[in-house]
Amino acid sequence: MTEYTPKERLARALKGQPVDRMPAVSFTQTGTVEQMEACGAFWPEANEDARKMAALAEAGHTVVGFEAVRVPFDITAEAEFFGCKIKPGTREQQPSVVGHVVKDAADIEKLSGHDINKGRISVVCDAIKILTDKYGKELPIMGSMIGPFSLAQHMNGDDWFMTIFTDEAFGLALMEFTTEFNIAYAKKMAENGADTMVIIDPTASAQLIGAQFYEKFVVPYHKKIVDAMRELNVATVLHICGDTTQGLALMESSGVDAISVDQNVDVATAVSKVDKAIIVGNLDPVNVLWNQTPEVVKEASQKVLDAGVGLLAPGCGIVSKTPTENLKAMVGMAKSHIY
Amino acid sequence: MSKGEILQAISDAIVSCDVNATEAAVERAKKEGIEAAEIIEKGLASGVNEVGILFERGSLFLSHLILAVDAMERGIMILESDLPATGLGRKPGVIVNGSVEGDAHDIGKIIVSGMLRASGFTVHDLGRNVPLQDFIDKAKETHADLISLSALTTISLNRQYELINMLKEQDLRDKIKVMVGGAPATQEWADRIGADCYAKNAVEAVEKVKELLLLK
Repeated sequence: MTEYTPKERLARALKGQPVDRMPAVSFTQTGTVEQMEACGAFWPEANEDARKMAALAEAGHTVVGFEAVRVPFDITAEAEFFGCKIKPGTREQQPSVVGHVVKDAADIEKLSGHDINKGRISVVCDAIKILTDKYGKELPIMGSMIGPFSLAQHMNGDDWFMTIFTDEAFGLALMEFTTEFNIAYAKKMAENGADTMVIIDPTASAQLIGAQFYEKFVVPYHKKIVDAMRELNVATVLHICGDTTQGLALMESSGVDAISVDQNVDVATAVSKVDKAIIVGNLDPVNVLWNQTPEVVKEASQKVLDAGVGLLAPGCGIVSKTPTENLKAMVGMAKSHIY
Repeated sequence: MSKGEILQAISDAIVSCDVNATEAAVERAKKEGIEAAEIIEKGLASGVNEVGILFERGSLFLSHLILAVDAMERGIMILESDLPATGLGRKPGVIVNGSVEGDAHDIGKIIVSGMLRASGFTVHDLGRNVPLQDFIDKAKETHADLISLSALTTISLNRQYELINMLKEQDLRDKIKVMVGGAPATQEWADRIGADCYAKNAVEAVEKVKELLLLK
């Protein structure tokens, strides 16, 4: 059997090509307090400083055993870049978006002509560079960013769900704007060495907005990002929270290589709903990975593997208090799985 | 048009999430001399209720729910001017709702607010990242019956416990009920901190609130 580097193994697995065994990765946030203590890089500084960000990402590999490194750990740098008010994070908690900046087309106009070499998104790109220099030949280098729909929601506030219904032209204009930014940002991450791009678009759920709106407001924009990444030979993974079962075929129509599903989705059903996309998931970050024992994690992992998951992973961002031994149990189960 | 047809037109306007049509239909009902309370109960609220059911079934979505509730509120505004304050035809229940922190996962809270409003309760949604005292101040100001508190992480779970203690300290615990929810919350947790109820999702939240506030 051929021996692959972790980088080759994941690239092949994401294309659905044969590999010697399952890669052990997490496409959602990996930072935990135990890893911070092990490597000396803590939130919130690790969200602000490229070296610390890279160090904590590296701990995902050296401490937990993930066969990849991944940045960043939150999904607010993009909204912050456009001036949304942010509630700062703490050692155990990620920052969150509390203020919004776009009410109408004129506001979009005001925000155009931005320079993406500024702010925390630039820190993320620097961290990717550091990780690539150290691990780029061996390990997958994952960049992640909030998706265009959820970024629009951050910028427009909770009105966004009404906006798409009541003011289609403005809604689509904001989607064009956020997508253009997403593509520029993702390209810069790829230039710095990212070979896998995770699009985290939590509120872009067909369950929330319905298939018709999803098809109009989400698919074309995800497709643009996927196409731009494919040109650079960067694999794409789409994560959307909630019960996305009925939306999976639509999600796949954007051309993403893999779809990450959360604990509300039945994996066997999910696998049956897609054509080529790799289904990733879906251990419950709270009620399994954080609050249970390694034994329970192994049992839950076995169930997901038996259901035919393409890649065993957390169903959503890892909770910062998750014990390393639980994550190691999940990693071990993935590594010992032969397709 | 018969009275039934006029009220049905209001309900239909709500279900199609059409604010203008709702306002026009309410105006017409007013002109016909239909009682405000009846316009609310058999027209506006019944329309929103219908949307709530369709939302639960997955044939209408979050946008519709928010819009329908918005249309109902506009309709009530038209009627409020000529109503005695007590005659609003609303269920006896005022709720203050919010998250003690915010991220993509607090979308559930918006749905909870919408579903509670669809069930005829008055809901003051304070949004996300709400300081604990703000919940209490708003509850005092609006004479709320219940505070609904959503949490996303361990840290914010403890905030739910803190809020209950603050209510005790301020001698309000016997006046204001507390519902807790959010991914890390469980029934055991709710029992441990002495909350009045725990809800797993929006549908359950509505059931629990009805139990607590209407079956007194």
